[in-house]
Amino acid sequence: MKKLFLVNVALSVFILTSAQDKLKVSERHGNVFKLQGYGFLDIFKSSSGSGYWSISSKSEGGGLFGRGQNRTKSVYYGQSYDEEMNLVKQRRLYFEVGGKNLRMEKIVRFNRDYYIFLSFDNVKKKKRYLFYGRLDDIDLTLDGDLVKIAEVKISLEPEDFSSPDFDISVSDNENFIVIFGKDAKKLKREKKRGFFALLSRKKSSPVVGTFNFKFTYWVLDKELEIVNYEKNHSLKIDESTDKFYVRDYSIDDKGAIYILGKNTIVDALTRREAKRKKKATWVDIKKSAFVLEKINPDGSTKRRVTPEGELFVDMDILFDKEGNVNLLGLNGEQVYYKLATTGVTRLIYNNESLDLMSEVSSKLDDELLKNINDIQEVEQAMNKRQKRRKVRKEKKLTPEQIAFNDIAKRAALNANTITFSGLDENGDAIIILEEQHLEIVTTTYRDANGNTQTVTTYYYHYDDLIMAKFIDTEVLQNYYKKSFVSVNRKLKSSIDVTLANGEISIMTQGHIVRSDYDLQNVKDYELKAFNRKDRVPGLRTKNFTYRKTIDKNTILAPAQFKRKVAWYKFKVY
Amino acid sequence: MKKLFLLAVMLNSLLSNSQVELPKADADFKKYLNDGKRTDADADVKMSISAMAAGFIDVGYEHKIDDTWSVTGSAALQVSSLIDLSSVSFGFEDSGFKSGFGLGLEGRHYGALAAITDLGYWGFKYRIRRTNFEFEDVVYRRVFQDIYYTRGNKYLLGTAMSAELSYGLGMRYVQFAEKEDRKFIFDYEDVGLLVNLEVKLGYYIKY
Repeated sequence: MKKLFLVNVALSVFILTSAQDKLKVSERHGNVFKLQGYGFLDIFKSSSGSGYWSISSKSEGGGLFGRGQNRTKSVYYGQSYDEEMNLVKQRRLYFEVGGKNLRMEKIVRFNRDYYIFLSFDNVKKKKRYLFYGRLDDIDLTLDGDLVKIAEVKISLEPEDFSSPDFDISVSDNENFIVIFGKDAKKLKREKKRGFFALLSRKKSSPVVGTFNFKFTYWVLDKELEIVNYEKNHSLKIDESTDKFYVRDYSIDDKGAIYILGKNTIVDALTRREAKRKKKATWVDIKKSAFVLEKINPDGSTKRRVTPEGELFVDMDILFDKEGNVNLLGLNGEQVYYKLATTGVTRLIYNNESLDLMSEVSSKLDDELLKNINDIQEVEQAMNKRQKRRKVRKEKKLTPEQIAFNDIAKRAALNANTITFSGLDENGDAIIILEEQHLEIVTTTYRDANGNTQTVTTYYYHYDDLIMAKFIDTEVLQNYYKKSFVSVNRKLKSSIDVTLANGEISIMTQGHIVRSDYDLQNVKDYELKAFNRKDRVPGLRTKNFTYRKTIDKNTILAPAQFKRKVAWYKFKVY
Repeated sequence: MKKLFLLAVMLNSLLSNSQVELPKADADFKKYLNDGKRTDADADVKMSISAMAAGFIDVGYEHKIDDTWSVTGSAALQVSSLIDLSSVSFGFEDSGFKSGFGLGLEGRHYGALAAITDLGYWGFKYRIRRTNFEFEDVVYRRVFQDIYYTRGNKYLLGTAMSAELSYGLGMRYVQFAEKEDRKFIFDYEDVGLLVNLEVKLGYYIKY
């Protein structure tokens, strides 16, 4: 008998009010110091258990034309701090061997030690080699020699080839390190069209067929020995376009790799086709599926594709205590040219057979959407006259535009990626979404001589939070409304979330939000340090572009003005 | 029975061969860094291409002190006066070149520990150039003493060829002398601004 326990669930959603008690948080900062380097790459807890250490970088070596000439090299500095975030030591990290410049790829914590991964492009062998070495975070030096672990092909003609790269991460159970490698591949050049073809503005639809997507992977165990490896693993996908990307991957306790990739088929219509079909858009998203492939250490593979007909916006992979694969996804519907999130899904696959054991889906609840959907918010604020005008305008819309507007009203319009996903101690899945959108502001200045200068600034807005929790067949939903944070550069991570002791702790750019696992009691705290009025002696003004959650109760963030820095430590009680 | 046993052995060998052979981590990492390029050169012997325009054969030797600093000494022999600065600057329209030489000393700082084969550098250079020429049957001597700030880029071409492109900005001290009774008597001196552009080609040496 087929081992399939499929549970189709009628929507069972509890909407809760967004309770607003206050958290107790201490905000302290360390001394102000002059930073070597321009920005922080990462900060870690010291392996000694007391204090922290960080890494910063800058580019050096620009000569004739300064740094703008691209002939520069990244140099790295390490800083160590005490528990109060006062600088103890700052020194340069040397990654040069015999005149060869090694590039830093990643630092990972593994088996309580810190390991640094460095790469080198050997043009003679046409390969990029990856090395690892243990990093002494007390002395901020490399401890012992490097070890070569992986390699990918490079090209001597980078303009015609894709960039080779490594992707390094530690498995969730912290038993394995996985390295994905991608060779440089020859880029397909678009064929130049003739003059008349250019005039017709014909858009070609991507070819749909069977495509092979290749990559190499290495799995290292606790002894840093390779336990699973395959060169140019081929992922063959039928009914696909030539575009496929790995969204997420994970490793189970037995060293098997799970790759989650997105496969989308978008039909691009010509202007004439769009006119003939009376369509409001020129794209038709026909498929947006995720492909899960399990690669066992013996090389055998199994594959599952997300249910047909469902358009998934985003998906994450997690393992529960039994080792079963949990796929947490955002369901989408097409609104003009893109997919908008209208629901959440949890799929559970058996670890061995990859048979579907459970499927739970839920639409975003009406009450939640009333509070976070921009269109609904605007409509609620309309006066009678504005409402009458809206009705008049809607009469002129095409049926497709009316349909899109209807979908847009029941969607989380600006939440298109899973910002966080995790499983609590009971194995219940939690998804956190953050509304994010980009605003482009172009300003033109005119000086006294009549010369004009146009400046374009990108503002990244980080807005409300949406929380969803899957408990067996139920889906709980709640939201947290916050005054949106706008920054003029994209944050590496906008929120950090930890799950522990029955509480969800969410650290946003300006707020700390804490909820119980039932999403009922939500407490928050607005961080004062991010307010410009809160001054640090020695810093004329403060800029925050980096932040890291060290544990459930501790967040570290550097306040920076040019080269001067003071680290803030936020502690939740 | 024998056949069955043989079949089992064959199957076993086939299966063992079909298993994925795992690569090993290699502690001898230095061999992977050998790309044939002499990036760890100790010295650079080079010739100035731009100095040829002034008729100088300028040969320099740059020695690496550490990964950041280097010192360069250079000597130049003037063989002609292709661009005759004396005629341009000081009105000796029909001057005839007789002889000349030059010496230079430069200290350099390289960024990103890239001395002396890669990336950019800045430095200070002192240079003296002396030229004897004849004008209306009188022999003159012109001496340029330059001290300037220089900024440039070094390149490694192929495996060991060096290339260098730099500009300089500083002061030039000019002296003119007229030869009387086998002695040069300096009767003119001036200080001016120096703007300099240099192109050099050479060869990296590893001791």
